[in-house]
Amino acid sequence: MTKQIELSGVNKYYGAFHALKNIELSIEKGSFVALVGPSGCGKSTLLRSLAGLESISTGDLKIAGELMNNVPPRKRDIAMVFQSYALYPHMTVEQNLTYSLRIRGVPKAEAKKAAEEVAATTGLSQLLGRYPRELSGGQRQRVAMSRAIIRHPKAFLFDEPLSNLDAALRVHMRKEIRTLHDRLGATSVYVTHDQIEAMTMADHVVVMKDGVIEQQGAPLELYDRPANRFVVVSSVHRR
Amino acid sequence: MSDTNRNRLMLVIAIIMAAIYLFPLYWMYITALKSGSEMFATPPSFWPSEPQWATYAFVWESRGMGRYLWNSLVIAFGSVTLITVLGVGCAYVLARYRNVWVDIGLFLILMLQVLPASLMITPIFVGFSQLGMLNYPRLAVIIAIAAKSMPFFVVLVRATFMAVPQELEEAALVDGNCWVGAFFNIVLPLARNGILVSAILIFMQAFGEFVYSKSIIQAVELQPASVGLNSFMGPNTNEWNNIMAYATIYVTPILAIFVLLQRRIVSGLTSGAIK
Ligand SMILES: Nc1ncnc2c1ncn2[C@@H]1O[C@H](COP(=O)(O)OP(=O)(O)OP(=O)(O)O)[C@@H](O)[C@H]1O
Ligand SMILES: [Mg+2]
Repeated sequence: MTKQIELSGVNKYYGAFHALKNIELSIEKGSFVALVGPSGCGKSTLLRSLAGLESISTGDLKIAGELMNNVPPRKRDIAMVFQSYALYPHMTVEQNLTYSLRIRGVPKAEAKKAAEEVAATTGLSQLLGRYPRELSGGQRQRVAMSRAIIRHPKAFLFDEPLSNLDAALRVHMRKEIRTLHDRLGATSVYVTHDQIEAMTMADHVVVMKDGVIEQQGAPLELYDRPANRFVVVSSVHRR
Repeated sequence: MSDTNRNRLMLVIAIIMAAIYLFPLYWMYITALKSGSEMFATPPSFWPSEPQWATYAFVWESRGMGRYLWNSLVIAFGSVTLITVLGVGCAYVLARYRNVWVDIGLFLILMLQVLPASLMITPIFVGFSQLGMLNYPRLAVIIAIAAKSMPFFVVLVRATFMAVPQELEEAALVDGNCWVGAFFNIVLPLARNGILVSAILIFMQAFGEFVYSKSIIQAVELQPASVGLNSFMGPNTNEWNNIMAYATIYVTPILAIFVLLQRRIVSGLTSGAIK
């Protein structure tokens, strides 16, 4: 297996605050990795560092074997789904989907075709002409997902993408995201503070606390040999 | 007191206040239409008996109002353009970066807003005369107005930018844009309403500006309508109907703009202009 994302000795400081402490993590191509941990432990910071929205203070970050420490987000070829979805309010669904393609100079007709294809797989075909404010929460979520998959990035980053949905829809979307991941053969990093979500969706779970990776491994491994109370709590939740 | 009674009382108070505030405007409109003798009648009449529409044409011709209004327009458009081009960038930086220096900058900007024009004009005049700027008096006034009104604009537009979620910009960066592109594609369109409204307010201010124009522009043919109106009035003036007609021609377009756009202006100021 090849490594798609590699972090070695990564530290991140916000001024004097040490947000990420000596992170060692390698993510294999095609795997689905969940980042869990209590609020404020640095999950979003780690994800944003992968995207290039935050710069890391020390250490190395490689994506597909290339050193990415000082590469701006637009050159990392990574897609991100935000908790708030961050859909562009002044663009239709179609324009939202094709924005990344249009920036790259993909011809209009080709971009339109790509949008239609993606919309067909995510059930948005009827909604391409609508504006984000005219969509339900679940539909917005799908648009955010579609916008990420349209350009076949090297990795997908999700920051608590389902936390704004109701319980039933959340369960449904978990399955859908995982199915999509498998079909695209994508590499995904998925931040959540819902332990069930992490245990059921991921191949590999990374448990963080106070900026440190406490434990990582396959879901069952963590379930059987929890390294600390937080992991135990996760396992109990799962029963 | 019950709620409905209280609402009624508030309404009555509001109407009285509005009437007091708008009375001069009303007086301007009716006086412009009165004849010479009706103007000085006691008790004064509250509605012109024989409206003198010819007064308008007479004033427009005799005072050369076309030229004055043209100068006002040049000064107002110049100021708005200068303020918008410089102020939008400034407001954006102040909206997105938070640190001590930004706070100090904001404080200084608000300080500028506090200083009255009549106080600022002396140092500005001296400075401009040393730089030779007084040879281009309208440009000098535009710069002076820009300096005066910039804080107001920056503070309003900054609030608009703060209402645009930063995640939208980040999404654009991850989608493959550089930050300049993200600003023009995402942030600017979403802040457009707020910027437009602020620009209109600045325009109306600059269109009526008096202190700087009066002090800096000596040549009559370059003076704006506000200075023209002032030179119309002297210690022994008695042609009030002509003066009021001048004032009517001057302010009615501005009032019309405001009335037409008032809903957008109010919502743009309060909501940050995001759907
Ligand atoms: N821009 C910043 N400046 C200073 N400190 C920050 C900044 N962003 C995050 N932090 C701090 O870094 C720590 C980690 O934040 P982060 O957002 O990564 O947490 P998280 O694990 O995503 O939490 P949550 O589950 O609540 O989203 C927090 O203590 C936070 O206060
Ligand atoms: Mg977070």
